[in-house]
Amino acid sequence: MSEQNDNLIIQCREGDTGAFRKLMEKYQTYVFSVAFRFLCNEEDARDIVQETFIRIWKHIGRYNFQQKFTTWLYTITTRLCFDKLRNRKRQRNLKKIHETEHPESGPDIEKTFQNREIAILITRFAEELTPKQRMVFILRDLQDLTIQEVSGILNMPVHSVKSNLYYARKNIRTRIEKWEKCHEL
Amino acid sequence: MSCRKYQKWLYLNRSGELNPGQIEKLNKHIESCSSCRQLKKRITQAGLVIHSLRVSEPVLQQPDRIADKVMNMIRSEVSERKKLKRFSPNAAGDLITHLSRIRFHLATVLIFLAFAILFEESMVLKRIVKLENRMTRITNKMEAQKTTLPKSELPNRMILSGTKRSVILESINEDYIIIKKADLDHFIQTIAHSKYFGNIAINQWKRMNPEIQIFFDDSTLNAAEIRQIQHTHPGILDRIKIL
Repeated sequence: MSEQNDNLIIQCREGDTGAFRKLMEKYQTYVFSVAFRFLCNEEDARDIVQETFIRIWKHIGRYNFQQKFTTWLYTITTRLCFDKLRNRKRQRNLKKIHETEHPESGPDIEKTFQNREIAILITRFAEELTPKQRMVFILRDLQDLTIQEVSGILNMPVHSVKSNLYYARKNIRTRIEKWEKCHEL
Repeated sequence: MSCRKYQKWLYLNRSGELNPGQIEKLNKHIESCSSCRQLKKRITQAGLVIHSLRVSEPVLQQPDRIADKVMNMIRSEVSERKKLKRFSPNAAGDLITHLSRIRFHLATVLIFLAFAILFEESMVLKRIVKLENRMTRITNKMEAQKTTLPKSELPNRMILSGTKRSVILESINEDYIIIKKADLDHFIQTIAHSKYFGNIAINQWKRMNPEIQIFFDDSTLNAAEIRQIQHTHPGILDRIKIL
């Protein structure tokens, strides 16, 4: 798999846009998944996918073949996500997704509902987490990456990753329990 | 070990998060601790919800639209690059194209350098003027000292009075120093801590009059006070004689 990636990257470096499209088709769902889980907004997540791949195209010459391609990809994605969140806070339009977002109409309405459900749950459970805790939780628990991979992507020591993860899980557990109690009532 | 540590471990119990030793210790502890067992159960239950979130992947709708958009942007960039190459017939042409692109940056850098040089020069000039002023002041002072203080008229008695911040030389035409009682503490402190007056002024004065001695006015001090000074500041006796 990595050999195949390496070949595609070499072709991209030579300016082969076809190879780049293949690379993009292969990984855009991963990027979307992380961005959506972090930002809980479909439009923003789509923007992140776009920006991530444009950045990859621009800096493909800097890619280090010793590193895993997905690690590099996730690093760019997470940085863009943090930036987006910062901008959002600046604009003071961080709206609660379950209050404001309405499902789009169209043929993919089921998918929209599925995304909306995920967004509502993540927003509800991970609302009080700091951006770092939230990203650590998403990469480790939702994207199922290893602690070492998370540490590499976020450029954070392993012990910090574990510490953030501990606080995130503790907080989320409490919120899940509260939510379950409400549903029982 | 306290339960708190084990509780932290309970939250970090997915594969690869704890080492085998920690897992073993944790398992042993759980067997004997009911509250930790309870917490483990609750964490496992919450884990099920998290698992369901993990499994339900967000769906990227119309992925081709994003891919097309990105590819269009990339292609337009690539074709622009190619155009630039096509229009430049040779290497010299390439160079000119590049130069025209960077000439704005070059101009900015040159302006910045000019400002930096001007600033540096003005600073050097300021420093030279300062030094010249200082030299003039020192020369004037030396000449004034020569004319106003001939050796025969050198001071041989000082009367000192004090302010909160320093001891001020009031008169320098007597045989001994008189310290006002109210200023005594401050004077002693000044000399004891080798501040300006203690180190420089008295020493300079003594250098000019080696035979002179510095005294306190006996009328302002009683025997107990003198003993107190000798006791609290023994070093002061090297510099000051008390009658």
